[in-house]
Amino acid sequence: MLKNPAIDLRNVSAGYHHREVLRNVDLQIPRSHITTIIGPNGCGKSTLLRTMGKLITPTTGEIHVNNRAIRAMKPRALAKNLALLPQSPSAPEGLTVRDLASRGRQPHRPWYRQWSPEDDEIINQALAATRLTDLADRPLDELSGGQRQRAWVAMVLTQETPTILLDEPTTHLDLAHSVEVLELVTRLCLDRGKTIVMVLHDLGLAARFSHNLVVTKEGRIVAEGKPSDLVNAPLLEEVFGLEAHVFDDPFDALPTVVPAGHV
Amino acid sequence: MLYLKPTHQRLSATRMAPITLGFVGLTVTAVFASFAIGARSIPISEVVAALLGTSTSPEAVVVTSQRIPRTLVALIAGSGLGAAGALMQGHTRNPLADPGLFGVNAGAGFLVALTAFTIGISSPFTITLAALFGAAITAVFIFFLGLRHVNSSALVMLAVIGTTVSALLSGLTTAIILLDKQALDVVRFWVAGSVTNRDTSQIILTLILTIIGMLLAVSNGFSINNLSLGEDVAKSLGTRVLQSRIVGILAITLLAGAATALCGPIGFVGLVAPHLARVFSRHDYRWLIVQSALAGGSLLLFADILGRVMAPPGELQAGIVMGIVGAPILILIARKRRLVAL
Amino acid sequence: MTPEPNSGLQLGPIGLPRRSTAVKATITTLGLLLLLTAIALQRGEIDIPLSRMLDTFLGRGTRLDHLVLIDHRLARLLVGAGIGCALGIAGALTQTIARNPIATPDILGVTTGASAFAVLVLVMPRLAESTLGISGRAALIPGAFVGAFLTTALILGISWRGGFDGYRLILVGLGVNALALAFTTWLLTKASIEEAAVATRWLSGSLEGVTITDIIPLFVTSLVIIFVCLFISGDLGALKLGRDVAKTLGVRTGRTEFIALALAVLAVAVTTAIAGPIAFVAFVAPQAAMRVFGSAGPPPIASGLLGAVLLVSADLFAMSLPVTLPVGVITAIFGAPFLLYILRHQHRRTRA
Repeated sequence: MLKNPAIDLRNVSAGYHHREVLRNVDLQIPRSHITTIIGPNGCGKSTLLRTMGKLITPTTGEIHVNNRAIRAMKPRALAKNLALLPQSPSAPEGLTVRDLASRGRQPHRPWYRQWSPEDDEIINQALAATRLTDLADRPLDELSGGQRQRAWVAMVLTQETPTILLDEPTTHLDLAHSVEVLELVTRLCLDRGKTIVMVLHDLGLAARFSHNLVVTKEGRIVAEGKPSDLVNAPLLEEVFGLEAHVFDDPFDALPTVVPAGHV
Repeated sequence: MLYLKPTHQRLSATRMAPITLGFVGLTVTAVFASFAIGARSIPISEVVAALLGTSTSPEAVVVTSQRIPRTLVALIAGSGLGAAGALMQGHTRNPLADPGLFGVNAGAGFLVALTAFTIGISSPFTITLAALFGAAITAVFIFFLGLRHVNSSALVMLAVIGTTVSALLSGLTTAIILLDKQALDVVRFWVAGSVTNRDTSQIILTLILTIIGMLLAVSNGFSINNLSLGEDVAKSLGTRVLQSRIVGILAITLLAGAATALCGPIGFVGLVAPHLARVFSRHDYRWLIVQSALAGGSLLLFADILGRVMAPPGELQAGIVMGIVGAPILILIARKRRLVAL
Repeated sequence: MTPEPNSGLQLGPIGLPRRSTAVKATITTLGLLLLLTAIALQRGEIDIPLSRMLDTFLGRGTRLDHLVLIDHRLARLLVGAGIGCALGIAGALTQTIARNPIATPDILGVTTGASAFAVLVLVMPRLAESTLGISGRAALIPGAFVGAFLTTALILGISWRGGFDGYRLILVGLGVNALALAFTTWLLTKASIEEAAVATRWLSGSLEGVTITDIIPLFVTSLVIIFVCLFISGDLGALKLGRDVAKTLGVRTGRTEFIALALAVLAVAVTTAIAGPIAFVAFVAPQAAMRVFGSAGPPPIASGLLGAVLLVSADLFAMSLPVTLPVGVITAIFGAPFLLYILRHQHRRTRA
């Protein structure tokens, strides 16, 4: 049991329209680390993340963020503690990168102050961190997939929360762009001490870019731990139904997955 | 925007045939009810006798001179609207789409008003012709204005353009009927949507157009199934996207235009009938179109029957009853079905 | 059109974002409004030179001048501008909430409900007399109000399900809309031809016969709407990114959507009661404002400005025609080609 987890889930069950997806989940997310949730399709990874972000109300159990129960928190207060980037977000046409980034300031803004020099400064810093300063005034739809995703991360950055949740941030991105986004996310953790919780479908990237892995199957957590301890052939067989070889790569000694070929 | 889920299953004929037969049965029931029910209740035996031509009683005369024609009209218009609605929702992937979005109603109304204003309406057939031309010209006009957008998968722009042109024509129509009492008199009754007092020439014309439209619609069904998977997937499956869209729009215009030309604008049939059919066919448009047509025909027949008995001693026009009946159905849809929201 | 860098201005605790496209557009629109005001005050059969105008405004003019200038021209101008503004904002709000450019306040059924009751009053004056105690045109406004609020209550009552959902509200609105329309259509067939003509004219929306007292409910409503709009403008902006993202940004999406729709309903109820249904402004103003002011979705306040310009110009034009047509007809006839022109020349897909 962690002493001061960033997020604490106790006995949480949740689902959609009377269909239960998560069953009695206990989970603690360590502060200032990158935790990635992996599992086969339909195992409840996204549901877990969305429940943490209060987009889904749990049917049982309690969730605490920074030691405060999210059930009692007002939306604004929660938004200052936790940022969530949903899967495949969409933006209206014509929205510029800077516009998108500035929306992240929403929880901090009283209604009569939709702009301030301090906000501008924070936005500029976020754009610099995501290396989008030159593209700040371009509309989102003119950018590449990787740049667009970085713009969304810039929005999350300006929200200035200690914890960031990312739901499949690398879907639809090629390997180079995926790595780009994940390296940015890693910098946020290592340089700024942010707690990151991600859902990834790519085991290799998950193993490479996480401190901790949480493996889910059929709405339950079946394993937790460091990638090097967790990612092995028996786990892959049991959880994913995949026959594969796992070995440490020769460069960084991180677990690498290769499917056992049968053709 | 609301989107309908794409087709994933090809439902087998063994499942669909009995369901379609069910709809046919429903329609047949509606037809007989339409023959029998009214201000004067006529027993089924008399109805059959009248159909066979063996009876010349006053009841039989009512059946042959009034009930059969109006039943036929309601059947043609209702099935045309039902099929057009299914096509419309299929192409725009929007469960709220209604054939009226292509300006069919506004265009028809405008030309009716214009005709009444300029050369005067001499017969019901004139109204039908004017409405038909109005609907066709408007649909083509809207289509060409929005041609650039036909290839976008949601056709939202086409709906915006359609709504805009409809508003323009509506405004012009109002201007005309305010200037000319004759035109006002013609339009205010036409707008109520009625299945009575239609003569044979009107019925035959619209029947021909509806049959052509129906053939186009059914042939379009297969393409819509593919298109709902996304245009790229459809292309790889061999669908010619632009061609399918054009056939679809043509079919919608023919069907909805003919129905409106015959009866005046009747709302809701095109919107609701596909939803009724969708309870059984999910998203296989090859069957959905036929079932929507049957559902639409039954719906309009029931509305007309209701109109005969709802407000004695007079009658309520079918268009008005449809509005009253369609509303709760739409509200039920709103409360029950989960529409996939984007 | 290249977007300009964001900058803003700060006055004490208040901060406003500023972009030069929007600034230029605002200045142009305000200039247009000023020009229209000048034309409106000038136009008419009685010529009142500037000096006498000033006298009248200062309370020193003749009774006739006062009647013409203030009771007629100024009243008509202010009511027209107020209605155009309210409708523009209402349209922007519904289009934003529904994320759909064809979602106008009319689909919520309020306009049709208000119209149905107003037509009822026109067609059955004796009914109105016995229930409301007044008859004729005086009963129109309360009749329309009753209709608007009954319809709203019906829609809200049916679509409440432990909270409000934007889509469900719109679907129920469509249903109630159809009901009210059926009712109105039936009334029109039942009425005499003269009554039908009067009712049809009212149904097209007209600024004919508005008085200076009509301004008061309009003014109050507009102030309330603008103020609340400013209050939720940040939340509305977040909503454009989708409900999920808005929620994670701390926006109470259900509450914001409800407030926005409530404002739209209020605007429509008041404007319909005063001038009859003027449908097209609520559709055109936000779409045009979005492109002219360069924003990424229908901008509420800008739509209000543009709506005012649209309605006032339409009314001035209607008055200059040899045959008076209701302003609602003119807005449709001119608004439509205007919008089509903008749609073709801006090459931007709408996504509210």
